[in-house]
Amino acid sequence: MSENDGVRADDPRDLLGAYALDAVDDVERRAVERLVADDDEAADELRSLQAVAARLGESVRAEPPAALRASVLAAIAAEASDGSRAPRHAAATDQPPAASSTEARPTPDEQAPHPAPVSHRPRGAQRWWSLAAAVVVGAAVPSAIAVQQHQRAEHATTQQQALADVLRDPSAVLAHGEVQGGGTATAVLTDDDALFSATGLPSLSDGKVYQLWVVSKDAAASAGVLSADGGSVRQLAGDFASGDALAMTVEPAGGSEQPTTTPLVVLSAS
Amino acid sequence: MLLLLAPTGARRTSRGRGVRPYGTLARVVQASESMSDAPELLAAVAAGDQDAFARLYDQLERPVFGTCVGVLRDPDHAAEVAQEVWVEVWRTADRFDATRGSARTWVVTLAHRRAVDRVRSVQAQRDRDQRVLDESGERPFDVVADEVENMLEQVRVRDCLQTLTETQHRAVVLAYYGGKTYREVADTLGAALPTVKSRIRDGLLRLKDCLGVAA
Repeated sequence: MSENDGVRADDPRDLLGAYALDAVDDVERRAVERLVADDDEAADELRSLQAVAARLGESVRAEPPAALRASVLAAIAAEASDGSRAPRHAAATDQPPAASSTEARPTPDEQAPHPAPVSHRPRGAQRWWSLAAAVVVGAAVPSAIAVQQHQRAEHATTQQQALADVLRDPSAVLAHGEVQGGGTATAVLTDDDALFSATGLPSLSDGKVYQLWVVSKDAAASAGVLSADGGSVRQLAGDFASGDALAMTVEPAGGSEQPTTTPLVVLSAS
Repeated sequence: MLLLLAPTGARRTSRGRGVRPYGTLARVVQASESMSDAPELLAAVAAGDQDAFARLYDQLERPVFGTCVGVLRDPDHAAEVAQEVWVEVWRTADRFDATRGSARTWVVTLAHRRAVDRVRSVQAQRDRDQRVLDESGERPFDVVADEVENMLEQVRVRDCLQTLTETQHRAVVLAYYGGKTYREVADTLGAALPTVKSRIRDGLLRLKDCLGVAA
């Protein structure tokens, strides 16, 4: 075995440890799974390595969100009742035993929890969770990147907390609209906060920025200049009240006191 | 980082459905594989038994969520992946093979894999979108280690990690909690690939002895 490596055609046995930590690529994963399918010694070793790895994960201290249980059970009840899923049907695929989890791919659509009899929560709360699940995809993931990649811990904590508060709010309403010129915008509006996000926005010429506004009956207040991240923006508007709308305009760099162009999108609860 | 977890969790349980009794005792019981009826529950789940699923969920909720948080750090993100994991457990329970390991390990392994998948797809997307940030995108070992090892509630696991050699320790932590492939670990550590492969394996075997893990 050469120390000077770069080629991947190595003995898959050497990858058992990395496999147990999910630290291999797909090709290597399949190589290991072929190995353990018919090599008992390798399978034994992998079994202990995976048991050790699992200890690393399960010893992390974290309180599961209370809503998760209801959401999971509702999703399972929905799957069971529509009859399309059956564990037995999965058995038909030829799956190497140690590879237990590789092929199954989660299909996000089916995971959206439906209101279901198993719920211990009022219907409104169920709907909240569906909403949260839908929005978190767009909203929480960029936060997670910020958290993981840049260690802006305090900023992220504030953002996360604010995001969590919006999503928990029983008054939350989802609004959705096309952005003139390209892109789509989604907002969660509550009685005192609003979370705005948009994707697919065209990039602006130099000297121009997107700016978000909270529009009440006859006034617009800036909710900040939006920093576009690959055509995506996200902003929490704290000074939002029931009946207000969110509007996004294009403004000169640095933003404006009041909107100077026609909004590209306006989102409101009604 | 830790600030992010504790208050959020505490807030959540104080609202919503009410707090379920997860005390120290429950944790001790959960940690004991031999007392678990998880294998039987998984078999029942494979047959479509929703009550068995709920019992399995209650037994393994914390290991699954903890694993997701360990890799993803962000609790909301972890909850989303945990939900996917549980749906997958429901769909694929019949693939569990008791001769290949414990039910608990099977479920936790699945959770880790999905969490890592998520980290990698998010990173891939980020790399496509925003190469500019790449220079600040590295997560040095110390950051990962500090974040994660402070979250470990089992002192024993933390202590055992300390018994590894430095390279073993770094390689295991970066791969498991950092979601890195061993190739990325090798890059980060400036070590040769065969070295990293063997350090990971040796590190895990040493952890196994230290923790007294029965396969």
